[in-house]
Order: sequence, then C-alpha cells, then structure tokens
Amino acid sequence: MSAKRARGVEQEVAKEATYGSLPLTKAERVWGAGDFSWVTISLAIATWAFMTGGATVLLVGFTDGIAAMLIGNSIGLAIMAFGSVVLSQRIGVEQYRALKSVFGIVGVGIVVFTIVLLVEMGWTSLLGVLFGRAFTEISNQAFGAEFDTFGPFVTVFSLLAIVIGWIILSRGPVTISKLNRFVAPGLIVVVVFMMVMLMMNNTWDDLLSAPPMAPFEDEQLNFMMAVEFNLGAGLSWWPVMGTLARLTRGPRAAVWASWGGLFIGTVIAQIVGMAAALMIGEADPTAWMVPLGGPILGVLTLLFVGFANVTSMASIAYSTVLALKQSSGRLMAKVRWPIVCAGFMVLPAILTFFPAFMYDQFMTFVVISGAFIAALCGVIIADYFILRKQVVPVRSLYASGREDPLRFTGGVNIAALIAVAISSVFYLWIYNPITLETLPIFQYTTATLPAVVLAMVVYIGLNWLLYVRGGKNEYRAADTFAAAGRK
Amino acid sequence: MRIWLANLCGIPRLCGAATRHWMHKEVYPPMTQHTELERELDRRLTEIESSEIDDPVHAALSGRSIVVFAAVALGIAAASWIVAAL
Repeated sequence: MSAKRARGVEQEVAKEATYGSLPLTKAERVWGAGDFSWVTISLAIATWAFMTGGATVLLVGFTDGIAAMLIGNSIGLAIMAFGSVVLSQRIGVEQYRALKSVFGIVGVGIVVFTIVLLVEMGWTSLLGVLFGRAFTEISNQAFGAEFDTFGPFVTVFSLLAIVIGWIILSRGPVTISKLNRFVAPGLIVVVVFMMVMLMMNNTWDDLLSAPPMAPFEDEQLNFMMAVEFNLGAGLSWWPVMGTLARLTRGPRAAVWASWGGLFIGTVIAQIVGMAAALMIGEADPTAWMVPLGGPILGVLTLLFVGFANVTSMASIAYSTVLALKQSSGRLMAKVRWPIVCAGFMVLPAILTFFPAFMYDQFMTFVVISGAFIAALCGVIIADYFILRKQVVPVRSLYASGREDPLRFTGGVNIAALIAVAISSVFYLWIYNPITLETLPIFQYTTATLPAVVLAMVVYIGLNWLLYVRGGKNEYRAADTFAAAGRK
Repeated sequence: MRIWLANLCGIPRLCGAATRHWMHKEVYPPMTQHTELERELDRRLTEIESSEIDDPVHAALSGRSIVVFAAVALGIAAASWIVAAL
C-alpha cells in the first residue's frame, strides 16, 4: 500500500470513527467534563429556551413558572440522561448503533426514521426560523426597514442559517467543540445582559405580581401543564446526547455534564424568556432587545444569539445525521458526510417557508415529541440498567446475519416497539396536547412519569417472555469491562 | 487521526470552495477501502477489548452515583414543588 493511499485510508477511517459507527478508542475521547459542560450549556442557551420560558408563563406566573421549569427540566433531563448518555459513554459507540442492543438493528432504523428524524428536523427548522426572525428584526431596527417578522425575509435569513449550520456540521465535533468554547461563556454574558436590560425598565414587584398570559381556570391544571411542557423540553435532548457523550472520558463526567450543563443553560435562558413574556408580552428577544438595549448593543446581542442558534443547530443535526447513516445500513454508508448533512437539511429548509406555523405550534410540538421520547427512555432504562445490568458486548453491536447475537426477531425487538407504542398512546390518552383534554391523574403525576413507568413495566414483562428467558440476545453475557470497575 | 484533527482546527473554508471540493471527490470509496474499514473495526474492537479492558473510561455507573444523581434531580424537583405549594 502506498503512503498516500495509506494516509487517505487513515483519514477516511478517522472520519468514520468520529462521523460514523466505529467504536472510539480511549485516545479519541476528546472531551472532559469541562468540555462537555461547555457544549451542553451552549446547546441549551438558544432562542428555544427563551420561547420555552415564554410558553410556560402562558399558564403560570413568574414564581410558579420557575418552579415548573425546575421540576420539569430536572426530572426530564435525568430521564433523558439515563436513557441515552450512560450506554453510549461506556462503550464509546454512537447512540443508535448502541441501541441495537435495545431495539434490534431494524428496530433502531424504525425509531430513527420516524421519531428521531421528524423531531430533529422540527427543531432544526425552528432554530432556523428564530435566526431568520432575529436578522429580520435587526434589519428593521438598524436600517429602518419594515419587513414582516413572519414574512419572506424571515425565510431568506432562515435558509442562510441552515446553510451556515451545514458548513459547521460538515466539519464534525471538534469544530463544534472549538466554537462552543467561546460561544458558551459569551451566551451566559448575553443572557445576564438581557435580564439586566429587562429589569432596568421594569420592577421586581411588577414581575412577581404579573399574571399569566393565557391560563385556564383550574390553577392546578395550569401548573401541571407547565410542568409537563418543561418535562418535554428536558426529554427533547434525548436524540442527540448519547452520541455526543461517547466523546467523554468517564461515566460521571458524561452524566453530570449533560444533565448539569443543559439544566443550568436552560434555567438561565428560560428565566429571561419568562420575564420578557410577562413584562413585554413577547418571549422572543428579537422583538424587544433592540428597543431595550439600543441599536448597537441590541444588534450585537441579536447577532450573537443568532450565531448561538446556528451552533446549536449543528450540534443536534450532527447526532441525527450520524444516526441516519447508521440505521440505513450500506445504503448511506458510502455517501459522504457533507452530502448526508445536506439531505437532512432539506425538510427544515422547506419548513422555513412557513415561519408562523412553526412558531405558533411550538408548545404542541414539544409535548408530542416528549410523549414518544418518554416511552423510548423507559424502554432503554429498563433494558440497560435492569435487564442487562449495564453489560452490552461491543462486538455484538457490529455482528450481522444469522450469527448476530442481537438478532431478536428478524432484527426487531418486538417487545421494545410494542412497549413504546403502548406507552406513547397511554401518554396521549392522559394528556392530549392538541385538544388539551386531560385525565384526572394528570393533575398529580403529569403524563410523562406514568408513561415512563408503563414503558418499563410492559417492556420488562414482554422482553422476558420473548427473549430473556430463552437465554439469547446477550442478556447473560459476561461483562468485558468488569475490571474497569464502577464510578 | 492527529493530522486530520489538525486540519480541522483552521478557519473553515469558504462555502463555494468547500462545496466544489466535496462534490468532485469520489462518492463511493473503492471496495478495498471498505474492506480496510472492516479491518480497522476489528483492530479497534481488539484494542478496546484488550488494552482498555480495565480502563476507567469503560467503568459502569455505580449504584452510589445513580442514587446521588437521582437524589439531586428529585431533590430539586421536590424543593420546587414545596415552594410552589407555599
């Protein structure tokens, strides 16, 4: 083999390990707890957090809003972390390859090409729309234009955000990490500045006494809906965190950095969103930052927030595109990474032509996606922690054909998919975010917690009947890494 | 790997140049590269299952860590619930 060809192969292999399905060696785990924390903080502080805060205070006031935010995000992020981060980190394998141990190779494809793909395309489109609104507002304020903030110029700038996101995404996690090193601390400064500007023009008494914007008559129902919405927001990180966490060097670093970074970033940004919505009637900073901060500071702040939206877009799209490559078998394995990234961006680009729809349906989108992700997390937690006791043979994840120890039933873990379906329907029966109908139990338990528990119970029962008691699918495998201990 | 990572540390190229570079590269790697990727997979698995077998990077999450983590998350939720109820 010539030296040039060897370098080419090495580069392809190196790319595949990072971009694709090969397991990472220890030397390739490039993130410590600090690095991963900066990544997660900067992920959390995007305009979506401001909008989540604003949507929360549709139902409750400021103090109840903070309580609902803390409850929902604390529990939602914990469920998310157990359902994604731990497995991928331990074996150093991309999330959807690792989930072959739960859903089977074909089952993972079903999950990815339905739930994951639609959810992440929705978030990508939303970030693009928010970027578009930010730059439309900058144009209006700085240059005296009168562009409609849901008009065609929003679409133009949204498409620009998607192109920039594609460029960043195409260069992989190292570039994303380097950008996040200055984006994350900068965002914290920006958010604090936003809060200062808000409170310079309003009093704390005004804020604390401000009524919710559009509540129902039942206060308990309002509070629980706000908690449920924030649970969904916390769970919405599931599709991307496992793949990012595999780049970390230890289980505690992965768990605490993912939960803590997202929690801190979300709390900080959501509080600003809540305050803005209550005081000005608009959570989106594009609507009030320039009037409050003045043309120079306001525009600079919006530029930075817009950039943060794009880096968040690249981060979430990275994990999803990796999942698409994995789940498509050989079909997409030969397609170059930038091409797959561009394909992922097509639907989000189309959705940017409907900015008002994306903006107005934000809360419904978060809750519905939370229903399915809660079910997925319940199944994964039951499988990895209870049935497998954290033992997943890495080599089995790459086997195929009749010799595949993780074959399940034709590549599908039927128990897992049934449990996800039953649990998701159960969630939507308890709380329908479109009709806003709820069962009495919702006011005490939310819909997420019962759905997670049901998913676990159904899965354990069905999976034991179908697979575990037969001794197949590596449920009694020896722990390759037993000597690595527990941390 | 280090050469590849070093190349990524520079300022991103302009969109047009990058696009032309990617679009003109061969989309489908030769079959020999696919086979070599499979060999690389086996090499990595062998390395992970031998030299990293006792490395803390592959440690399981201990029961104590799980309990502490869950306690913090639930504690924050419980405290917030109590404050809201008051």
